[in-house]
Amino acid sequence: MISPEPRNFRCAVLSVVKHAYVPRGVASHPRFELVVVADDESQPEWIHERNQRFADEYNIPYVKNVEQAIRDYDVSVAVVSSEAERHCDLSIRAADAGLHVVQDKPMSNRLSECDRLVDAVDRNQVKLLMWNRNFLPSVVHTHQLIQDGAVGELTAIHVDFYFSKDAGPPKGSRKADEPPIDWLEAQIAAHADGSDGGVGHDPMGELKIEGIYPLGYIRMLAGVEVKRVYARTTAHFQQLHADNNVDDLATVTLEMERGIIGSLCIGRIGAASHPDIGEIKMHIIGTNGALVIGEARPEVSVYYRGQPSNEFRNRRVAVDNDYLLMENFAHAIDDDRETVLDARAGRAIAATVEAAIESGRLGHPVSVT
Amino acid sequence: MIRVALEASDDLKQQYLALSPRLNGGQIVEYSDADAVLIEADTDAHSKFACQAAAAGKHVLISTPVASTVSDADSVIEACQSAGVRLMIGQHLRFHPSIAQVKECLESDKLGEPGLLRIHRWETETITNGLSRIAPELDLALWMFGGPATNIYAVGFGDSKQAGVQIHLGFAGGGMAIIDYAGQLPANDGYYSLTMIGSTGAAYADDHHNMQLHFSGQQTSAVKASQDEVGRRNQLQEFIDAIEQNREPAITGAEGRLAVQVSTAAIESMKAERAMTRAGDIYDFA
Repeated sequence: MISPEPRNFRCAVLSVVKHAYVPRGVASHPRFELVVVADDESQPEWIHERNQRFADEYNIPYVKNVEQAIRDYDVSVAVVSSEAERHCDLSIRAADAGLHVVQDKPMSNRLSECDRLVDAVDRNQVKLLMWNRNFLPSVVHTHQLIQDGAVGELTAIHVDFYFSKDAGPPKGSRKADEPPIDWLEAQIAAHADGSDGGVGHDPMGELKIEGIYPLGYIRMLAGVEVKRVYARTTAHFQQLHADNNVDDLATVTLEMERGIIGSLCIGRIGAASHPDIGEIKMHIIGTNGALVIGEARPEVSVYYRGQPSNEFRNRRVAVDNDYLLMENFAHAIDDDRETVLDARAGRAIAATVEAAIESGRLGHPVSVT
Repeated sequence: MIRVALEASDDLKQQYLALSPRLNGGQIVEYSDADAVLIEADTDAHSKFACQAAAAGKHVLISTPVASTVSDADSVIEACQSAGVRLMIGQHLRFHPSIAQVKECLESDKLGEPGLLRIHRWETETITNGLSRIAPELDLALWMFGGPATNIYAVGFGDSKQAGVQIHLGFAGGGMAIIDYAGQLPANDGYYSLTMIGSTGAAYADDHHNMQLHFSGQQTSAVKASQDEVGRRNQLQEFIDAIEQNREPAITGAEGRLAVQVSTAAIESMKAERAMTRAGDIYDFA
């Protein structure tokens, strides 16, 4: 018997104000077609400009009405890439319209919003994929090694996740008579080099912006929930973060189910502190062995005369994360199963981040709720 | 010539004897002939050996942790002061070329203000004395940040939480450290990684980066050259030089005492499953 052709998915991109890696990643899979960009008409002009620019690049319409675009363009998937504070609102509206959702990280800057989104996904029985890096070749390989028993029973897992990027001037550079750096203005300007993951009115530290990536690794590799955390947080590198009272450096002790412990060290450590994107590593210990994994590998090292100083000397190769994420999402829809990082997992990670921020503030361990 | 006796295991004695021809102005001798004693024994015996050596007029090099308790550490410091002999705390990790390089980068201001220290130390044997297990890395953290930890939180893991320990430190000015010690690695050379990230730069001293590949049989393996011999030789040389030059050695009794104090607080934190903070000279539960 010949299997039926798998169905393809028409996608509405609901706001693309950041660097557009999520909708581009969606579009990289042949079963997903971007057919319209949409956003609320009430959004400011700079958002409309970015949405229009993306729509022009893909030669698709831009509609300043989310519900109208969903109705008129026969879409079954929403791709949400707005500011974090609007992520859940757009995703909930899409879910309520019966759309499956691919959403950028972080899930939200508010845990209550994550709860609303989990409810909406459940209520409408749609699939949600939180964008993540769990299908990078090194992470896939590590997962396979653990599944094959290479380390025995897992006892500890540690992740270092540093971005060697600046976020404007360094901490301590602002003169006394100068005003604090405005978060939104700085994020809008950072769009030029793709460093605008925190774009929005509400400032967010690195733990909130990027924490889902390493916590996503830990969740997939360990397969357990985080119960309690102890964290230290600070603004150590960037004037922007110091001025807006959010972290650019954080360390988190993770106490997980089954007595597994772990740690996360995360930060926007500045462009001078690594020759490439930043040191990203996993250290994993089990009852019968251990692993040390360079997350960026495999890489090719490239050096040439006149090479710009800000060009990475080591280039990641064999990266198939975008396609594999979308393949996972497609199969979740086809077979009615969960995605690799679904709404509940996203909510659990957001709760871990909130607990860590609280622990950093209070100075003692905090349970994850 | 400074004559140094060894109060250590037979295996360590052999290591020190092997490196002794490269010492300048020093030689390894029997205890009765010695001007100084290197003590690298069970921690519980440290203070007794050190006080005995000081009473005999011998300078003392005693490995971290200097004693099992802060009061015993004070006894060692007082005994050496009273006897007018030099006391140096042995911490050969500070003299490992890789780790010394990181510290040098901090001191020459290449890295700016220290922000994050991350250490992984994996070994094949579980040291039964928790203090001995964690004190060397805690000493490194205190050394890198130039002072005591203001906040401590420690958790054990593995069978009965004895397979390893993770220690999380906070420092004045916002600096932080996470130290991961695991003691049940399958038989091999162990693993060591130290990363220091400062406000203007970072240094990575990492076995992962320094491993060489060995192909034989079915599996490729990773092998490395140990820096222990160089570290121990440099440490012993510093001790000899400090005696000859009649100056304070690189690692003082006060630093050794602080490492014991912080290690003790970390163990308390782990047992109570609570964080500790420092007020004045004391650690208490947060």
